[in-house]
Amino acid sequence: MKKFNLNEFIWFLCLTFIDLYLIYLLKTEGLYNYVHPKMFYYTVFAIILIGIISLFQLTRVFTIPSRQGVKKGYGIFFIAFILMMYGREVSGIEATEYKGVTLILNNQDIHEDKESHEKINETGIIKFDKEHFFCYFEELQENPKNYLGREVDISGFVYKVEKEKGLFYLGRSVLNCCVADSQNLALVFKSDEVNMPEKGQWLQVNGVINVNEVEYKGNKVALPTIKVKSTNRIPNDQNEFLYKEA
Amino acid sequence: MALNDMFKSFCVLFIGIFIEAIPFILIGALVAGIITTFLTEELIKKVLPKNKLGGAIVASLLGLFFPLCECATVPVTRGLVKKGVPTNIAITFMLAAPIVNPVVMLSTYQAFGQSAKVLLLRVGIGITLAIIIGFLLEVLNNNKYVLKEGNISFTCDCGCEELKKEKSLKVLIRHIGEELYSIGKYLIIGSILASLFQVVIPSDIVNRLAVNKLLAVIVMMVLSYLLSLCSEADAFVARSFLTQFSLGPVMAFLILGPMLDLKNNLMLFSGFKKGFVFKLMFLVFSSCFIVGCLI
Repeated sequence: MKKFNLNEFIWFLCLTFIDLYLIYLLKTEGLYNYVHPKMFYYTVFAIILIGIISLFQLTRVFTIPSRQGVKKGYGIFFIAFILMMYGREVSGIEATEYKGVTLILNNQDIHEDKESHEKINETGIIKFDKEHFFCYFEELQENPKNYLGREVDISGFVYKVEKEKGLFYLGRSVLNCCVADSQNLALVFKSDEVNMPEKGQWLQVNGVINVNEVEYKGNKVALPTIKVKSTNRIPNDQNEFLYKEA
Repeated sequence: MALNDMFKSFCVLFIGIFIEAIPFILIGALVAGIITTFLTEELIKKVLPKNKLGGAIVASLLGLFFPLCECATVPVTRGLVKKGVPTNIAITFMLAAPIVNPVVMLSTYQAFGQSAKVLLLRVGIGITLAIIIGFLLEVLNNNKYVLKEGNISFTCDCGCEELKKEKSLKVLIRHIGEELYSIGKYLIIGSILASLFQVVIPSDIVNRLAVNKLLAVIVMMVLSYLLSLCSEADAFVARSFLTQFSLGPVMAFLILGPMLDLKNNLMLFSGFKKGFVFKLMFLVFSSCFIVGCLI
Protein backbone atom coordinates (compact mmCIF):
# COMPACT_ATOMS: atom_id res chain seq x y z
CA MET A 1 0.00 0.00 0.00
CA LYS A 2 1.13 3.53 -0.82
CA LYS A 3 2.74 5.22 2.17
CA PHE A 4 1.21 8.68 1.91
CA ASN A 5 -1.36 9.81 4.44
CA LEU A 6 -3.37 12.72 3.06
CA ASN A 7 -5.06 13.51 6.40
CA GLU A 8 -1.73 13.76 8.17
CA PHE A 9 -0.32 15.84 5.31
CA ILE A 10 -3.19 18.35 5.51
CA TRP A 11 -2.76 18.63 9.26
CA PHE A 12 0.97 19.18 8.74
CA LEU A 13 0.14 22.05 6.35
CA CYS A 14 -2.35 23.49 8.84
CA LEU A 15 0.18 23.44 11.67
CA THR A 16 2.85 24.99 9.47
CA PHE A 17 0.46 27.74 8.39
CA ILE A 18 -0.48 28.62 11.97
CA ASP A 19 3.18 28.63 12.99
CA LEU A 20 4.31 30.81 10.09
CA TYR A 21 1.39 33.16 10.64
CA LEU A 22 2.32 33.67 14.29
CA ILE A 23 5.98 34.21 13.34
CA TYR A 24 4.90 36.77 10.74
CA LEU A 25 2.76 38.63 13.29
CA LEU A 26 5.55 38.63 15.83
CA LYS A 27 8.17 39.78 13.34
CA THR A 28 6.08 42.60 11.90
CA GLU A 29 4.69 43.53 15.34
CA GLY A 30 1.26 43.07 13.79
CA LEU A 31 0.52 40.85 16.78
CA TYR A 32 -0.19 43.94 18.86
CA ASN A 33 -2.92 44.91 16.44
CA TYR A 34 -4.88 41.99 17.85
CA VAL A 35 -3.65 41.24 21.35
CA HIS A 36 -2.00 42.92 24.34
CA PRO A 37 1.84 42.91 24.37
CA LYS A 38 1.69 40.77 27.52
CA MET A 39 0.85 37.92 25.12
CA PHE A 40 4.37 38.06 23.63
CA TYR A 41 5.86 35.19 25.67
CA TYR A 42 2.77 33.05 25.26
CA THR A 43 2.99 33.54 21.50
CA VAL A 44 6.68 32.62 21.45
CA PHE A 45 5.83 29.48 23.42
CA ALA A 46 3.08 28.63 20.91
CA ILE A 47 5.44 29.15 17.96
CA ILE A 48 8.07 26.83 19.45
CA LEU A 49 5.60 24.12 20.44
CA ILE A 50 3.69 24.19 17.14
CA GLY A 51 7.05 24.05 15.35
CA ILE A 52 7.96 20.87 17.26
CA ILE A 53 4.52 19.35 16.64
CA SER A 54 4.86 20.16 12.91
CA LEU A 55 8.21 18.34 12.72
CA PHE A 56 6.73 15.26 14.40
CA GLN A 57 3.69 15.56 12.16
CA LEU A 58 5.93 15.42 9.10
CA THR A 59 7.02 11.92 10.08
CA ARG A 60 3.38 10.81 10.07
CA VAL A 61 2.76 11.96 6.50
CA PHE A 62 4.49 8.90 5.09
CA THR A 63 2.41 6.32 6.88
CA ILE A 64 -0.35 4.04 5.63
CA PRO A 65 -3.62 6.02 5.62
CA SER A 66 -6.73 4.79 7.40
CA ARG A 67 -9.86 4.09 5.38
CA GLN A 68 -11.63 7.22 6.55
CA GLY A 69 -11.83 10.07 4.04
CA VAL A 70 -10.44 13.55 4.55
CA LYS A 71 -11.43 14.88 7.98
CA LYS A 72 -14.24 17.45 7.74
CA GLY A 73 -12.67 19.53 10.52
CA TYR A 74 -9.99 20.74 8.12
CA GLY A 75 -12.71 22.75 6.35
CA ILE A 76 -13.19 24.78 9.55
CA PHE A 77 -9.44 25.45 9.75
CA PHE A 78 -9.44 26.41 6.07
CA ILE A 79 -12.15 29.02 6.71
CA ALA A 80 -10.09 30.35 9.62
CA PHE A 81 -7.01 30.67 7.42
CA ILE A 82 -8.93 32.68 4.82
CA LEU A 83 -10.13 35.07 7.53
CA MET A 84 -6.60 35.30 8.94
CA MET A 85 -5.13 36.17 5.56
CA TYR A 86 -7.82 38.74 4.79
CA GLY A 87 -7.66 40.43 8.18
CA ARG A 88 -3.91 40.71 8.51
CA GLU A 89 -3.60 44.04 6.69
CA VAL A 90 -6.55 45.76 8.36
CA SER A 91 -5.60 48.35 10.94
CA GLY A 92 -6.93 47.90 14.46
CA ILE A 93 -8.61 51.29 14.65
CA GLU A 94 -10.27 50.76 11.29
CA ALA A 95 -11.59 47.43 12.53
CA THR A 96 -13.00 48.78 15.77
CA GLU A 97 -14.76 51.78 14.23
CA TYR A 98 -18.08 49.95 14.40
CA LYS A 99 -17.92 50.11 18.19
CA GLY A 100 -18.48 53.86 18.15
CA VAL A 101 -17.03 55.98 20.90
CA THR A 102 -17.05 55.44 24.65
CA LEU A 103 -17.47 58.70 26.52
CA ILE A 104 -18.28 57.16 29.91
CA LEU A 105 -16.41 54.19 31.39
CA ASN A 106 -18.24 51.23 32.91
CA ASN A 107 -17.58 50.42 36.55
CA GLN A 108 -15.69 47.29 35.55
CA ASP A 109 -13.17 49.38 33.61
CA ILE A 110 -12.27 51.63 36.49
CA HIS A 111 -8.55 51.82 36.99
CA GLU A 112 -7.02 52.06 40.43
CA ASP A 113 -3.78 53.87 39.64
CA LYS A 114 -4.05 56.69 42.20
CA GLU A 115 -0.55 57.99 41.46
CA SER A 116 -1.47 58.84 37.89
CA HIS A 117 -4.71 60.37 39.09
CA GLU A 118 -2.77 62.66 41.36
CA LYS A 119 -0.40 63.70 38.59
CA ILE A 120 -3.25 65.40 36.76
CA ASN A 121 -3.55 67.79 39.71
CA GLU A 122 -0.11 69.23 39.09
CA THR A 123 -0.27 72.75 37.69
CA GLY A 124 0.26 73.59 34.03
CA ILE A 125 -1.02 72.00 30.86
CA ILE A 126 -2.59 68.57 31.25
CA LYS A 127 -0.74 66.42 28.75
CA PHE A 128 -2.70 63.35 27.71
CA ASP A 129 0.34 61.24 26.90
CA LYS A 130 0.18 57.51 26.16
CA GLU A 131 1.15 56.49 29.68
CA HIS A 132 -1.51 58.47 31.48
CA PHE A 133 -4.27 58.58 28.91
CA PHE A 134 -6.55 56.08 30.59
CA CYS A 135 -6.17 57.52 34.08
CA TYR A 136 -6.55 61.13 32.99
CA PHE A 137 -9.60 60.19 30.96
CA GLU A 138 -11.11 58.50 33.99
CA GLU A 139 -10.26 61.33 36.37
CA LEU A 140 -11.58 64.01 34.04
CA GLN A 141 -14.79 62.10 33.64
CA GLU A 142 -15.26 61.55 37.37
CA ASN A 143 -14.46 65.07 38.47
CA PRO A 144 -14.77 67.35 35.44
CA LYS A 145 -15.57 70.45 37.48
CA ASN A 146 -12.20 70.24 39.29
CA TYR A 147 -10.47 70.98 36.00
CA LEU A 148 -12.62 73.77 34.60
CA GLY A 149 -10.50 76.23 32.64
CA ARG A 150 -7.39 74.01 32.65
CA GLU A 151 -5.48 73.74 29.38
CA VAL A 152 -5.03 70.32 27.77
CA ASP A 153 -2.79 68.89 25.07
CA ILE A 154 -4.04 65.70 23.57
CA SER A 155 -3.07 63.62 20.55
CA GLY A 156 -5.41 61.06 19.09
CA PHE A 157 -7.69 59.78 16.41
CA VAL A 158 -10.84 61.55 15.23
CA TYR A 159 -13.61 58.96 15.55
CA LYS A 160 -16.62 61.10 14.80
CA VAL A 161 -17.43 64.58 13.52
CA GLU A 162 -20.74 66.45 14.03
CA LYS A 163 -20.14 69.60 11.97
CA GLU A 164 -23.68 70.95 12.45
CA LYS A 165 -23.20 70.92 16.26
CA GLY A 166 -19.59 72.09 16.04
CA LEU A 167 -18.42 68.96 17.82
CA PHE A 168 -15.88 66.24 17.16
CA TYR A 169 -14.78 63.19 19.18
CA LEU A 170 -11.08 62.46 19.52
CA GLY A 171 -9.28 59.94 21.66
CA ARG A 172 -7.47 56.62 21.66
CA SER A 173 -8.45 53.01 21.32
CA VAL A 174 -7.60 51.15 24.50
CA LEU A 175 -7.01 47.43 24.38
CA ASN A 176 -7.46 45.45 27.54
CA CYS A 177 -6.73 41.92 26.40
CA CYS A 178 -7.53 41.47 22.73
CA VAL A 179 -9.03 43.59 20.00
CA ALA A 180 -12.50 42.17 20.67
CA ASP A 181 -12.64 43.91 24.03
CA SER A 182 -11.07 47.21 22.94
CA GLN A 183 -12.84 50.50 23.49
CA ASN A 184 -12.57 53.79 21.62
CA LEU A 185 -12.24 56.23 24.50
CA ALA A 186 -12.97 59.72 23.29
CA LEU A 187 -13.38 63.20 24.64
CA VAL A 188 -15.78 65.76 23.19
CA PHE A 189 -14.24 68.76 21.45
CA LYS A 190 -16.09 71.97 20.61
CA SER A 191 -14.60 73.71 17.63
CA ASP A 192 -15.18 76.48 15.09
CA GLU A 193 -15.30 75.67 11.40
CA VAL A 194 -11.62 76.51 10.81
CA ASN A 195 -10.37 73.90 13.24
CA MET A 196 -13.01 71.28 12.42
CA PRO A 197 -11.15 68.11 11.37
CA GLU A 198 -12.22 65.22 9.17
CA LYS A 199 -13.13 61.83 10.55
CA GLY A 200 -10.18 59.42 10.54
CA GLN A 201 -7.43 62.04 11.02
CA TRP A 202 -4.71 61.89 13.65
CA LEU A 203 -4.49 65.24 15.42
CA GLN A 204 -2.78 67.04 18.23
CA VAL A 205 -5.26 69.37 19.88
CA ASN A 206 -4.74 72.14 22.35
CA GLY A 207 -7.78 73.44 24.22
CA VAL A 208 -9.46 74.42 27.45
CA ILE A 209 -11.70 72.23 29.62
CA ASN A 210 -15.38 73.09 30.00
CA VAL A 211 -18.35 71.08 31.19
CA ASN A 212 -21.39 70.81 28.93
CA GLU A 213 -24.43 68.64 28.49
CA VAL A 214 -23.84 66.19 25.65
CA GLU A 215 -26.21 63.66 24.16
CA TYR A 216 -24.87 60.15 24.76
CA LYS A 217 -26.77 56.92 24.15
CA GLY A 218 -30.06 58.80 24.07
CA ASN A 219 -29.49 60.71 27.34
CA LYS A 220 -28.20 64.18 28.11
CA VAL A 221 -25.15 63.89 30.36
CA ALA A 222 -22.75 66.47 31.79
CA LEU A 223 -19.34 65.69 30.34
CA PRO A 224 -16.02 67.47 30.06
CA THR A 225 -15.80 69.18 26.68
CA ILE A 226 -12.65 70.76 25.32
CA LYS A 227 -12.91 74.16 23.66
CA VAL A 228 -10.40 73.90 20.83
CA LYS A 229 -7.71 76.58 20.55
CA SER A 230 -5.54 74.94 17.90
CA THR A 231 -5.14 71.69 16.01
CA ASN A 232 -2.17 70.11 14.23
CA ARG A 233 -2.18 67.14 11.90
CA ILE A 234 0.20 64.45 13.13
CA PRO A 235 1.32 61.19 11.52
CA ASN A 236 -0.54 57.99 12.39
CA ASP A 237 0.67 56.49 15.61
CA GLN A 238 2.50 53.35 14.58
CA ASN A 239 1.03 51.51 17.53
CA GLU A 240 -2.55 52.53 17.17
CA PHE A 241 -3.77 50.99 20.39
CA LEU A 242 -3.00 51.96 23.93
CA TYR A 243 -2.64 48.94 26.15
CA LYS A 244 -4.29 48.95 29.52
CA GLU A 245 -1.99 47.93 32.32
CA ALA A 246 -3.19 45.11 34.52
CA MET B 1 -21.61 50.40 8.09
CA ALA B 2 -20.63 49.04 4.67
CA LEU B 3 -20.54 45.28 4.23
CA ASN B 4 -16.85 45.35 3.34
CA ASP B 5 -16.00 47.30 6.51
CA MET B 6 -18.06 44.87 8.57
CA PHE B 7 -16.17 41.96 7.10
CA LYS B 8 -12.83 43.62 7.84
CA SER B 9 -13.84 44.20 11.46
CA PHE B 10 -15.11 40.65 11.71
CA CYS B 11 -11.79 39.23 10.44
CA VAL B 12 -9.70 41.29 12.85
CA LEU B 13 -11.88 40.35 15.83
CA PHE B 14 -11.74 36.71 14.84
CA ILE B 15 -7.93 36.77 14.60
CA GLY B 16 -7.67 38.48 18.01
CA ILE B 17 -9.78 35.89 19.82
CA PHE B 18 -8.29 32.92 17.98
CA ILE B 19 -4.59 33.67 18.28
CA GLU B 20 -4.91 34.68 21.90
CA ALA B 21 -6.42 31.33 22.83
CA ILE B 22 -3.95 29.11 20.92
CA PRO B 23 -1.12 29.20 23.52
CA PHE B 24 -3.55 28.21 26.27
CA ILE B 25 -4.86 25.24 24.30
CA LEU B 26 -1.25 24.11 23.89
CA ILE B 27 -0.37 24.61 27.54
CA GLY B 28 -3.54 22.75 28.52
CA ALA B 29 -2.80 19.88 26.17
CA LEU B 30 0.79 19.66 27.39
CA VAL B 31 -0.14 19.63 31.09
CA ALA B 32 -3.11 17.29 30.56
CA GLY B 33 -0.93 15.02 28.42
CA ILE B 34 1.75 14.72 31.08
CA ILE B 35 -0.84 14.11 33.80
CA THR B 36 -2.76 11.58 31.69
CA THR B 37 0.31 9.41 31.40
CA PHE B 38 0.07 8.55 35.09
CA LEU B 39 -3.56 9.36 35.89
CA THR B 40 -5.71 6.36 36.57
CA GLU B 41 -9.18 6.07 38.02
CA GLU B 42 -7.66 3.95 40.82
CA LEU B 43 -5.36 6.82 41.75
CA ILE B 44 -8.26 9.28 41.93
CA LYS B 45 -10.30 6.83 44.01
CA LYS B 46 -7.36 6.41 46.35
CA VAL B 47 -7.06 10.13 47.14
CA LEU B 48 -10.81 10.63 47.65
CA PRO B 49 -12.04 10.41 51.27
CA LYS B 50 -14.86 7.93 51.89
CA ASN B 51 -16.97 10.52 53.73
CA LYS B 52 -19.48 12.12 51.33
CA LEU B 53 -18.93 15.75 52.32
CA GLY B 54 -15.17 15.41 52.69
CA GLY B 55 -15.06 13.46 49.43
CA ALA B 56 -17.07 16.13 47.62
CA ILE B 57 -14.79 18.92 48.87
CA VAL B 58 -11.63 17.04 47.86
CA ALA B 59 -13.23 16.05 44.54
CA SER B 60 -14.05 19.69 43.78
CA LEU B 61 -10.35 20.57 44.12
CA LEU B 62 -8.90 17.56 42.31
CA GLY B 63 -8.84 19.48 39.03
CA LEU B 64 -5.88 21.40 40.44
CA PHE B 65 -3.78 18.24 40.32
CA PHE B 66 -5.56 16.36 37.52
CA PRO B 67 -6.35 19.09 35.01
CA LEU B 68 -8.80 17.63 32.52
CA CYS B 69 -11.06 19.27 30.00
CA GLU B 70 -14.84 18.80 30.17
CA CYS B 71 -14.95 16.02 27.61
CA ALA B 72 -12.12 14.07 29.24
CA THR B 73 -13.83 14.15 32.64
CA VAL B 74 -16.91 12.22 31.43
CA PRO B 75 -15.20 8.85 30.87
CA VAL B 76 -13.12 9.34 34.03
CA THR B 77 -16.29 10.05 36.05
CA ARG B 78 -17.96 6.98 34.57
CA GLY B 79 -14.94 4.93 35.60
CA LEU B 80 -15.10 6.34 39.14
CA VAL B 81 -18.79 5.46 39.53
CA LYS B 82 -18.06 1.98 38.18
CA LYS B 83 -15.37 1.58 40.84
CA GLY B 84 -17.86 2.43 43.57
CA VAL B 85 -17.13 6.10 44.23
CA PRO B 86 -20.38 7.74 45.52
CA THR B 87 -22.29 9.54 42.75
CA ASN B 88 -22.17 12.93 44.45
CA ILE B 89 -18.37 12.79 44.70
CA ALA B 90 -17.89 11.62 41.11
CA ILE B 91 -20.26 14.27 39.75
CA THR B 92 -18.63 17.00 41.83
CA PHE B 93 -15.29 16.02 40.32
CA MET B 94 -16.75 16.03 36.80
CA LEU B 95 -18.32 19.48 37.15
CA ALA B 96 -15.49 21.20 39.02
CA ALA B 97 -12.35 19.77 37.40
CA PRO B 98 -12.63 21.74 34.12
CA ILE B 99 -12.98 24.99 36.10
CA VAL B 100 -10.34 24.35 38.76
CA ASN B 101 -7.88 23.27 36.08
CA PRO B 102 -4.79 25.56 36.52
CA VAL B 103 -4.58 26.24 32.77
CA VAL B 104 -8.22 27.32 32.76
CA MET B 105 -7.51 29.57 35.72
CA LEU B 106 -4.47 31.06 33.98
CA SER B 107 -6.39 31.71 30.77
CA THR B 108 -9.30 33.26 32.71
CA TYR B 109 -6.87 35.49 34.57
CA GLN B 110 -5.20 36.61 31.35
CA ALA B 111 -8.40 37.00 29.34
CA PHE B 112 -9.99 39.31 31.89
CA GLY B 113 -7.03 41.67 32.06
CA GLN B 114 -5.39 39.82 34.94
CA SER B 115 -8.47 40.37 37.05
CA ALA B 116 -8.44 38.31 40.23
CA LYS B 117 -12.10 39.14 40.79
CA VAL B 118 -13.38 37.29 37.71
CA LEU B 119 -11.04 34.37 38.38
CA LEU B 120 -12.09 34.01 42.03
CA LEU B 121 -15.76 34.31 41.14
CA ARG B 122 -15.46 31.64 38.47
CA VAL B 123 -13.52 29.21 40.64
CA GLY B 124 -15.47 29.92 43.85
CA ILE B 125 -18.89 29.62 42.25
CA GLY B 126 -17.78 26.64 40.16
CA ILE B 127 -16.64 24.69 43.22
CA THR B 128 -19.70 25.61 45.28
CA LEU B 129 -22.16 24.67 42.54
CA ALA B 130 -20.34 21.43 41.79
CA ILE B 131 -20.63 20.32 45.42
CA ILE B 132 -24.29 21.40 45.75
CA ILE B 133 -25.31 19.81 42.42
CA GLY B 134 -23.53 16.59 43.40
CA PHE B 135 -25.58 16.31 46.60
CA LEU B 136 -28.88 17.37 45.00
CA LEU B 137 -28.39 14.89 42.21
CA GLU B 138 -27.86 12.09 44.65
CA VAL B 139 -31.06 13.04 46.49
CA LEU B 140 -33.04 13.31 43.23
CA ASN B 141 -31.62 10.06 41.95
CA ASN B 142 -32.61 8.13 45.06
CA ASN B 143 -29.64 5.71 45.00
CA LYS B 144 -30.55 4.29 41.57
CA TYR B 145 -27.76 2.89 39.39
CA VAL B 146 -26.76 5.73 37.01
CA LEU B 147 -24.60 4.05 34.39
CA LYS B 148 -25.67 2.63 31.06
CA GLU B 149 -24.44 -0.85 30.26
CA GLY B 150 -21.67 -1.25 27.68
CA ASN B 151 -18.84 1.03 26.68
CA ILE B 152 -19.05 4.77 26.24
CA SER B 153 -19.56 5.49 22.54
CA PHE B 154 -18.34 9.08 22.48
CA THR B 155 -14.77 9.40 23.53
CA CYS B 156 -12.46 12.34 23.76
CA ASP B 157 -10.78 12.51 20.35
CA CYS B 158 -7.65 14.26 21.60
CA GLY B 159 -5.54 11.11 21.74
CA CYS B 160 -5.42 10.87 25.54
CA GLU B 161 -6.64 7.26 25.45
CA GLU B 162 -3.57 6.34 23.40
CA LEU B 163 -1.38 8.21 25.85
CA LYS B 164 -2.57 5.92 28.64
CA LYS B 165 -1.43 2.89 26.65
CA GLU B 166 1.94 4.14 25.45
CA LYS B 167 3.89 6.64 27.51
CA SER B 168 6.41 8.33 25.25
CA LEU B 169 7.40 11.84 24.17
CA LYS B 170 6.29 11.08 20.62
CA VAL B 171 2.81 10.13 21.76
CA LEU B 172 2.67 13.17 24.04
CA ILE B 173 3.48 15.51 21.13
CA ARG B 174 0.96 13.73 18.97
CA HIS B 175 -1.61 14.17 21.75
CA ILE B 176 -0.94 17.94 21.88
CA GLY B 177 -1.31 18.21 18.09
CA GLU B 178 -4.56 16.27 18.13
CA GLU B 179 -5.91 18.31 20.99
CA LEU B 180 -5.10 21.46 19.02
CA TYR B 181 -7.14 19.99 16.16
CA SER B 182 -10.11 18.87 18.24
CA ILE B 183 -10.34 21.97 20.43
CA GLY B 184 -9.26 24.27 17.60
CA LYS B 185 -12.34 23.40 15.53
CA TYR B 186 -14.70 24.48 18.29
CA LEU B 187 -12.59 27.52 19.09
CA ILE B 188 -12.77 28.67 15.46
CA ILE B 189 -16.56 28.29 15.42
CA GLY B 190 -16.81 30.07 18.78
CA SER B 191 -14.54 32.91 17.65
CA ILE B 192 -16.51 33.31 14.42
CA LEU B 193 -19.84 33.50 16.27
CA ALA B 194 -18.47 35.87 18.93
CA SER B 195 -17.03 38.18 16.25
CA LEU B 196 -20.24 38.06 14.21
CA PHE B 197 -22.26 38.85 17.30
CA GLN B 198 -20.20 41.98 17.91
CA VAL B 199 -20.13 43.25 14.35
CA VAL B 200 -23.48 42.21 12.89
CA ILE B 201 -26.00 42.68 15.67
CA PRO B 202 -26.92 46.38 15.87
CA SER B 203 -25.79 48.02 19.08
CA ASP B 204 -29.33 49.18 20.02
CA ILE B 205 -30.55 45.56 19.98
CA VAL B 206 -27.57 44.49 22.09
CA ASN B 207 -28.19 47.40 24.47
CA ARG B 208 -31.84 46.37 24.85
CA LEU B 209 -30.78 42.77 25.43
CA ALA B 210 -28.15 43.84 27.93
CA VAL B 211 -30.70 45.86 29.91
CA ASN B 212 -32.90 42.78 30.32
CA LYS B 213 -30.63 40.71 32.53
CA LEU B 214 -32.74 37.54 32.54
CA LEU B 215 -32.75 37.45 28.76
CA ALA B 216 -29.02 38.25 28.62
CA VAL B 217 -28.24 35.36 30.99
CA ILE B 218 -30.35 32.96 28.90
CA VAL B 219 -28.68 34.09 25.66
CA MET B 220 -25.20 33.62 27.12
CA MET B 221 -26.09 30.21 28.56
CA VAL B 222 -27.50 28.98 25.24
CA LEU B 223 -24.38 30.26 23.48
CA SER B 224 -22.12 28.57 25.99
CA TYR B 225 -23.96 25.26 25.62
CA LEU B 226 -24.05 25.29 21.83
CA LEU B 227 -20.52 26.57 21.23
CA SER B 228 -19.04 23.73 23.30
CA LEU B 229 -15.80 25.64 23.76
CA CYS B 230 -13.04 24.00 25.68
CA SER B 231 -12.75 25.60 29.12
CA GLU B 232 -9.09 26.40 28.39
CA ALA B 233 -10.15 28.79 25.63
CA ASP B 234 -13.65 29.92 26.54
CA ALA B 235 -12.56 32.88 28.67
CA PHE B 236 -11.26 34.71 25.60
CA VAL B 237 -14.60 34.39 23.85
CA ALA B 238 -16.46 35.31 27.04
CA ARG B 239 -14.35 38.43 27.56
CA SER B 240 -15.36 39.75 24.15
CA PHE B 241 -18.99 39.77 25.32
CA LEU B 242 -18.14 41.91 28.33
CA THR B 243 -18.26 45.03 26.17
CA GLN B 244 -21.97 44.35 25.62
CA PHE B 245 -23.17 42.45 28.69
CA SER B 246 -22.64 42.85 32.39
CA LEU B 247 -20.61 40.37 34.43
CA GLY B 248 -23.62 38.21 35.45
CA PRO B 249 -24.48 36.83 31.99
CA VAL B 250 -20.77 36.45 31.19
CA MET B 251 -20.25 34.51 34.42
CA ALA B 252 -23.17 32.22 33.54
CA PHE B 253 -21.34 31.53 30.25
CA LEU B 254 -18.08 30.81 32.10
CA ILE B 255 -19.64 28.46 34.65
CA LEU B 256 -22.06 26.56 32.43
CA GLY B 257 -19.69 25.74 29.55
CA PRO B 258 -17.14 23.70 31.53
CA MET B 259 -19.93 21.84 33.35
CA LEU B 260 -22.22 21.10 30.46
CA ASP B 261 -22.15 21.69 26.74
CA LEU B 262 -23.49 20.00 23.64
CA LYS B 263 -20.31 17.98 23.19
CA ASN B 264 -20.03 16.48 26.67
CA ASN B 265 -23.81 16.18 26.91
CA LEU B 266 -23.71 13.66 24.05
CA MET B 267 -20.99 11.79 25.89
CA LEU B 268 -23.08 11.83 29.06
CA PHE B 269 -26.09 10.38 27.25
CA SER B 270 -23.95 7.60 25.88
CA GLY B 271 -22.46 6.69 29.26
CA PHE B 272 -25.18 7.49 31.82
CA LYS B 273 -28.90 6.76 32.06
CA LYS B 274 -31.17 9.30 30.35
CA GLY B 275 -33.16 10.20 33.46
CA PHE B 276 -29.97 10.88 35.39
CA VAL B 277 -28.55 13.10 32.63
CA PHE B 278 -31.80 15.10 32.40
CA LYS B 279 -31.74 15.70 36.15
CA LEU B 280 -28.11 16.78 35.90
CA MET B 281 -28.93 19.12 33.01
CA PHE B 282 -31.81 20.66 34.96
CA LEU B 283 -29.65 21.28 38.01
CA VAL B 284 -26.72 22.72 36.07
CA PHE B 285 -28.87 24.99 33.91
CA SER B 286 -31.01 26.27 36.76
CA SER B 287 -28.09 26.92 39.11
CA CYS B 288 -26.09 28.75 36.43
CA PHE B 289 -29.17 30.81 35.60
CA ILE B 290 -29.62 31.81 39.24
CA VAL B 291 -25.93 32.68 39.58
CA GLY B 292 -25.98 34.74 36.36
CA CYS B 293 -28.99 36.70 37.57
CA LEU B 294 -27.59 37.30 41.05
CA ILE B 295 -24.18 38.67 40.03
